[in-house]
Amino acid sequence: MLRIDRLHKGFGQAEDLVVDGFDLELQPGEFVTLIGPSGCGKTTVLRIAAGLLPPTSGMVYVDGNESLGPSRDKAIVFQHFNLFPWRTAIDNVAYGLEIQGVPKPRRIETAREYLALVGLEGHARKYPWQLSGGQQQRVGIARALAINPKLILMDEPFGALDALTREYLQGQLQRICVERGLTVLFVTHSIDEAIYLSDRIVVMGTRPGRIISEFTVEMPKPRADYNFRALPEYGRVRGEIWGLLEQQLARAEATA
Amino acid sequence: MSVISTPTPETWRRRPGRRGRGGRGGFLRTRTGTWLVRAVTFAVVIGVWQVYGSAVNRALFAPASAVAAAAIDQLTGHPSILEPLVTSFAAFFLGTGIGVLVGIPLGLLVGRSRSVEFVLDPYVTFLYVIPSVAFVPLFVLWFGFDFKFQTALVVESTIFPMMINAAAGAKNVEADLVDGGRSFGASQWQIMRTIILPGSLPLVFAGLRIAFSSAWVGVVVAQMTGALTGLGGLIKIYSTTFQTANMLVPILVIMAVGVLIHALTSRLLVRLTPWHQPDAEMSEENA
Amino acid sequence: MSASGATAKARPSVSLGGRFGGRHVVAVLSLVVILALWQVFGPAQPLFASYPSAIFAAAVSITLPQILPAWGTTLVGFSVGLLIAIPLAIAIGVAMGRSRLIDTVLGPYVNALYVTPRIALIPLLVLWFGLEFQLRVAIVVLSAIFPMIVNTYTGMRHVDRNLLDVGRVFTATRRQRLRTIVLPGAMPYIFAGLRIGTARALGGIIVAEMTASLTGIGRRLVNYGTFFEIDKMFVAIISIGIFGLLLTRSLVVLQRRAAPWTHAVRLR
Repeated sequence: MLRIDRLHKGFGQAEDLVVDGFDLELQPGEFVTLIGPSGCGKTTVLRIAAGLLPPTSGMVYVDGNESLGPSRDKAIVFQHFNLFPWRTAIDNVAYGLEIQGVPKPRRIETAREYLALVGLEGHARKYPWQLSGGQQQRVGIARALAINPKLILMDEPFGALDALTREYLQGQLQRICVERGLTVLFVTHSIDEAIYLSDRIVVMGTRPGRIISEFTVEMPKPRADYNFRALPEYGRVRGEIWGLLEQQLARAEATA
Repeated sequence: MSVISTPTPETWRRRPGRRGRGGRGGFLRTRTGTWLVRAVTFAVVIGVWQVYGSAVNRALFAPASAVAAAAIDQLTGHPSILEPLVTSFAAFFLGTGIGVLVGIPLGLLVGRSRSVEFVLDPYVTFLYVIPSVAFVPLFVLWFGFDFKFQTALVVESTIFPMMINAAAGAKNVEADLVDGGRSFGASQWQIMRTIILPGSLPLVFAGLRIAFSSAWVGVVVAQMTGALTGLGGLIKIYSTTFQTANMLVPILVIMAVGVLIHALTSRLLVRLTPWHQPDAEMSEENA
Repeated sequence: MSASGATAKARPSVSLGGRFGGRHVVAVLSLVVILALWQVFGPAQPLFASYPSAIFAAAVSITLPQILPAWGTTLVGFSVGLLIAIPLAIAIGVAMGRSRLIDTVLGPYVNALYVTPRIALIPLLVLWFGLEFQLRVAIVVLSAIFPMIVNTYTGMRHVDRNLLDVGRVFTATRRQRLRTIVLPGAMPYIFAGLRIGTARALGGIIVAEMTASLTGIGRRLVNYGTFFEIDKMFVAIISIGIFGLLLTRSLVVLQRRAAPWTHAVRLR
């Protein structure tokens, strides 16, 4: 589905390497999370995959085809929602379809479906400022899903929300992903969120950003249906990931 | 004054390797390119002016060379343009000084006291939407035709933008900061001096900049409509005798001073309140 | 309004009823006091200040035969000027925002004319356009166009980069991004430009009429002054103030209608 091949990314004149040799492959229907300390380049990888940044070297493939720019196969959900303040919820959701030239009645109908999917059918005519943060991000998710992309990229989508809303939306997101068999590349700071949502967790280290380890989470989904945090696997994975990240943080502290 | 916040221009960055604004963006992004294009444009403007000015009737327009000759004449010879310039500046500084010194305290008061606001706000709003030129006949009756009249019109042009901005500044100070001051037992006066005044400075300075620009307009309006002295008067005098080349000299001087005032106040604004994004474009101005 | 709308939330309007009730009571009371004082002390200085009852009487007698026809003349030039200035300004502002070449060529002149008193040009305009309709149109265009250009341009440059990213991710072309992101994002600025531009146009047209024209509200005002008809002069000044208020308010209403998401407009 998605294959990222020997990705390098440098910034500035000195081309300081932010990402150094990143390889990743996602199977259809897989939910993969990138986790790592600040500055490990996980957001950079995501933006390159989305086509918002050109890599210094390396390649991104979707279904075997080179895909370095934005394309209809890919959609992104942003940390700060990035809804258009001048569009109502439904018009925000319809945005991608409008850009693709889908006629108005059809795109509104589709947008309505996706608003309903995220539980906001009653808020179609509201502007973003009339919605809570959690509702805004649900619109953001619906906007990404509405173009029916092969791959969804999520950049800390729940990072700007309060803890309760966050937990609630994690459950909703997983239900939708399972129902629709979505392929997702997800970036987060939260180990708990990573374990809750993922089939696979990729741990990244800093300076330069690279993959240091990978975990497969075997617990059945949707995990909101049972207390997955009580399973021994949860504790084991959480402990191991924290161990790795703690090392990274300590190293960053020492060299700073 | 405007409630709408402005993102800093630095957040706007072009991405290399994408189609920029205009195909020839690369060259234009260099300093040399910019100045080359500007120099060429300037030469074209002067050239067209020269050709067109020579072609039409001398009473309607004058070629650039004739205006340059007139400028040298007025700068060195007699009648000199310097005297009207000094007259204009005198009214400008005196009027602005009064307008600012009265406007700021009044504005802060309006911003902090609800009862003062309720009383004054309707009048300030109403008077501010009236272009200052509408007061000319009234002020001529009250203050005569000369210096007092010019000064009064400048005061009228500056006091309202000053008040409105100072009031907005004082209102903008966060209630938390004021509460913080109260919790330390600060008196009303101490709160005004240590919290309200510094907190409202960015908008006060923004108001100053608007005030300076409107003051210059006020000077010119006063001199063109009533006093017939200073630069504005000079324009009037030359225009009634159809000396178009001579007339264009004070016009250009007035514009140059306008640009200068704006540039100086903008620079001052950045220097004095570096944490505040100047957004004069978003402020209301009255001419 | 600025970034992403993440933090934009409806601000609760604090007890609107009570506040505005109090405001109106105080306003009416203070107006009554001021009018009373004026009425008492004004008649002593009839050539200086006039007084409310005289002004009211003058208003009754001249509004229909003199003030409104004069406004009619003024407004024809005012509207035609704005009809030319607004689309032209937005087109130039957009062109400057889109093309670095146009920006480099026009920028210095637009900025210079934006900050200079354009009324100084009136005598020149008189030579070119005469004393009446064409002069009004010219001064309105000249007064209104530069603030509108500068604001349109500034608005385009300040569009939220993150929203442009959204457009790119959804494969919007440059033209589509202009229509769906850049222009709506610049709306608050464009409306600010409209407010500044129309206010300046009002000032400009009145100066032009006072110094050159033989008709229009500006000329009326000067004539009343010349014949020491202070009461009528006040009627003219107040009519200008009322028109100014109507103009500002109608722009606020227009902005609410046309761009409801820019709800943070100031109401003064």
